[in-house]
Amino acid sequence: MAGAGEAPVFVVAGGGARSALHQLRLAEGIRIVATPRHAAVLLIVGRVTEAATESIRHVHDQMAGPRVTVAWGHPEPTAVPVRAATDGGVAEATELIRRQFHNVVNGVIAPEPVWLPDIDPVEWRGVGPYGHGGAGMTGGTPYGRPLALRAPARDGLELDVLPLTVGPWFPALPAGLALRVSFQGDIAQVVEVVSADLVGFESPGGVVARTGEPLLIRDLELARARHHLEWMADTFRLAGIDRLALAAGRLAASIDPGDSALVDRLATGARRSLLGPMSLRGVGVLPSDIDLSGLGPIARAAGRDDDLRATEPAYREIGFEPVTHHGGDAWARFEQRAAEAVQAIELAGRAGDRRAFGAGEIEGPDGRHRVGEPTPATRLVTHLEQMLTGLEWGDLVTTVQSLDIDMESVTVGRAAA
Amino acid sequence: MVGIGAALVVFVATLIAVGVLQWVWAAAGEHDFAVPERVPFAGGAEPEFHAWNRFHIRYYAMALLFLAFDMEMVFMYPWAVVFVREGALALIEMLMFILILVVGMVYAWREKSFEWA
Repeated sequence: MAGAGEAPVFVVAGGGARSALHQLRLAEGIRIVATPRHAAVLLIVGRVTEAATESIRHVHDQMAGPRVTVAWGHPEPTAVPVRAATDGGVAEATELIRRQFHNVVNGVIAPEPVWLPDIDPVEWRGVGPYGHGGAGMTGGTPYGRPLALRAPARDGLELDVLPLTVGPWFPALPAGLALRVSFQGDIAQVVEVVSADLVGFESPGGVVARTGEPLLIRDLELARARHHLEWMADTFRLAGIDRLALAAGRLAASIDPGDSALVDRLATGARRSLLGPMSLRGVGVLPSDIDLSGLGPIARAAGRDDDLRATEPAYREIGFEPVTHHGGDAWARFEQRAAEAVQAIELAGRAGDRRAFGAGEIEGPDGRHRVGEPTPATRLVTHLEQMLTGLEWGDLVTTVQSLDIDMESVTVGRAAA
Repeated sequence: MVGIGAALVVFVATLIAVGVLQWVWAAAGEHDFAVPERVPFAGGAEPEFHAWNRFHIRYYAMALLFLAFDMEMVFMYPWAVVFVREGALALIEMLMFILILVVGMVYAWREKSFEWA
C-alpha cells in the first residue's frame, strides 16, 4: 500500500532542535533525507525567525510532491502555512509525520501547492531568430540566470567562477548558516557569510542567563557528553559512516554514568574507520592570529589548557584535570571531543550532588559562556570567511563541522552584543 | 540465410522495444513542474547564476601520466617474447625505457601534478 513505507522527511532545524532531531533519526518509519527532492514531508523543528520564511518557501517548493508540511516544537504559529503541528515528544512527532505522509500519498488530504509564485523568470533569448547568439558561451540568459563570471585563478589563468549561496538549510552545513561561495571547480575562491539570524533562541541571554543558581555537575556533564556524542554522530554522517553515526546517536539518546567504556569503543571504531587519515587530519587548522581563549574543545585540541572548570572548587574535589590534544586540526578536535565525552561521563558518575557555576559564567560544551561576552559560536562565525577562503569544498564542509557552530548560539551572541 | 533472418528478427525486436520504451518514457515524464519546483536545491536560496560553468580539470596531468604508463604496459607484451629470445640485453633495454618514463614521473611529482585540485 502506498505510504506504508518509511516517510522521507526533509528537516528545517531551528533553535533548540538539536537533540530532538537526533532522537528523530532513531525513530522507526522515518527517513531523514539530504535534499527536498527525495522528501514528501517538510518538517520544521524548533524556532525559526521571520527572516527564514523565504528560504523555507524555497525548500518547500523544491520537494517533488505530493508534499505536506509538519511543524514540531514551535512556540507560536509560523509565517508558513503548516498542515499539522505538535509540541509533544519524539513518539508523537513520529506518529504525526507518518500519518500526514500516509494521508497525502493516498489522497486522503490534498497535497500542498507551491508557496512561491509560479511565474516564469526572464525568457531565454539571444539575438538570433531561434533565441541563439549573443554574448558569452551560449548567449542569452538561460532561465533568467546569467552565465558564469570570469576571474583569475591561482595559476594565472582567467577561468569561470560560479557564485552560489549554499544554505541556510543545506544538510552538510549547520542549520541556519548560509555561505555565499564563489566556486572555481570545487575550490571556494571567495567565501562570505550571509548573516540573517534565521534561527530563533529560547532566552535572550542564552545558556548563561538560565543559570541563576549553581548547577548540578552531574546534569551538566551528562549534557556535555550528549552534546559531544551528537556532534560525533553528525561528523560520522558527513563522512558517510552511517553505522557509527547510528551508534553515536543511540548512545547520545540513552547516556548514563557508566557508559564511558561504550564511548571509548566508539572512538576506537572511528580510528579504525580511517576517518582521520582520509578526511580530518590536517584540515581546519585555525590561523595563528585567532584568539583561542574561551573556545573550549577547539582551544584544548590545539594544546591550550583553557577550561573554566579548573577554577571551580567542586570540580577540583572530584579530581578534574583538563584534557588536551595537539595538532589543532579537525582530527585533533574529534579526539578531543571523544576524550571529553568519556571524561564528562566519569565526572558525572563521581559528582554526587555537587554544584558549580553560578556567577554568570559556565564552561559549555562549545567553550566559555559569560554574561556580556560574545558566545564561542558568534566569535567563530566572524572568522569563517578568513578560514574557509581558498579551501576545496570537501575540506570547507569538514572545517565548518569540526568547529561545532550552533546558529542559535550565534543569534544569542549577536543579540547580546 | 538463417543468420540474416535471425539478425533481422533481433533488429525489428530492438526497434519495437525502443519505440515502446520511448512511449513509456514520454507518458511517465508528462508532468508540468511549476517554476519554483524547477529551481535547483542549494539549501533554500535562489541561484543567481546559471550553473553552466567551465572549470579547470587540474588532474589532467595525472590522466596523461596514466596513458604513458598504460602504453608502457602494452609494449611489455611483445617485449616478453623478445626477452625469451634475447635475454639480459632485452631486460636492460626495457629498464632504460622505464627509467626514462620514471624521470618524467618524478618531474611531474616535483611540479605537484599529483594533487587532485
